[in-house]
Amino acid sequence: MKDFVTQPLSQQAKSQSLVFIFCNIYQIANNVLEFDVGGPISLIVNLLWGMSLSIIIIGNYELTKDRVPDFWRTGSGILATVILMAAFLETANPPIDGEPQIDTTLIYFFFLLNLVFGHFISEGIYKNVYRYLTLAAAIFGVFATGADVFFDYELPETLQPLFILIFLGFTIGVGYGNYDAWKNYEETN
Amino acid sequence: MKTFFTQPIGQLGRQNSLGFVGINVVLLVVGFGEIDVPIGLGNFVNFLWGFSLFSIILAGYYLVKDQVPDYWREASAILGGVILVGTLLEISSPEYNSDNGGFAPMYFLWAFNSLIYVFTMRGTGIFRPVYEYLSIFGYISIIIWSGADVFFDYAIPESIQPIFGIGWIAMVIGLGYGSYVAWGDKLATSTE
Repeated sequence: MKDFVTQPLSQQAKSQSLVFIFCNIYQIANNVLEFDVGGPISLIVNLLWGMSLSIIIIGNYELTKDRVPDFWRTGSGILATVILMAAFLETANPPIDGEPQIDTTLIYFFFLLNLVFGHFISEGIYKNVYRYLTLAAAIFGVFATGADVFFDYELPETLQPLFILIFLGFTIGVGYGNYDAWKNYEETN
Repeated sequence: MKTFFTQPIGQLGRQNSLGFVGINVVLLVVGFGEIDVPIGLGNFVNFLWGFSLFSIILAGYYLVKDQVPDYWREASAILGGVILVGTLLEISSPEYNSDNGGFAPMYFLWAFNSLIYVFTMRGTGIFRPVYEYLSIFGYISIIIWSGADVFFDYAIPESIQPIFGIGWIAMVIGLGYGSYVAWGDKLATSTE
């Protein structure tokens, strides 16, 4: 147990990247393709999603720390906390008839905005294919969530195939991109 | 672009201090003038308000780090996180906003911590005394206003609300412009 919880960040980040990919695939299957698996499992997966994303965010600072000011460490800790809080609130207050009890859209808007910022300092750390997949998904997400919160406009459901593509890009870019970056980090250190 | 995102904390602190003052001026003009603002624009201004306050808190530790123990960094991160989560949720879930009692404890926590912060820094020369006094007046007003709501379920009567309005303006000048000036003084004397 002690070895598990005190494992190096690289191991932790790699395993959480895989958890993140799994959770995203589950969410695509469950929500988009409507393989309705059911309540408790979906809630657990949502919680795991938040936790894995938090660790990816914390790991991201370690990967980029030579390029950013020291306060990014605190900033990434806060961002990870914010994501975790959103996941906790969503898990404790699950949607009723598809309508969220607590709307966390703006938290994701903020996270995606940070993902866009992160693009500019991640060159050479993440492979370009993952960087641009992440950037494309993040920009789309910023517009989608921003349109919802600031203009009260929800993108039409006819665009759903595009959502799936973007979400897949996000899964590969953030999830596998992070796994790959940590693998490279381990090989060169 | 990269330079913008990786600018030193002092620059970030100064920009957001001015941003905080500017946004509060807008909010005061809109509030006192009873101007109808589209919901989306209002949400955007509130988002900028939350982000600028969060940045001031984040930068606040670095402004005083030679005067305080190291764990203040984690504490300021926690306070920053609370402010960020609270303001983001207040905007996207308005049914939980402070008018409905939802986030009054957050304002109480923030004002209480900030009051301790200002008292701790008194006499160190980091903040100019005029901004310290304005901040203290402002934070005490917020503590009374939010504390009355949270702990005594008591709404401040409208007849004395102007005092709290003045307290809020004092807080904006003390925290916002005071931080801007303090960062300016620090950057002028520091080699960091």
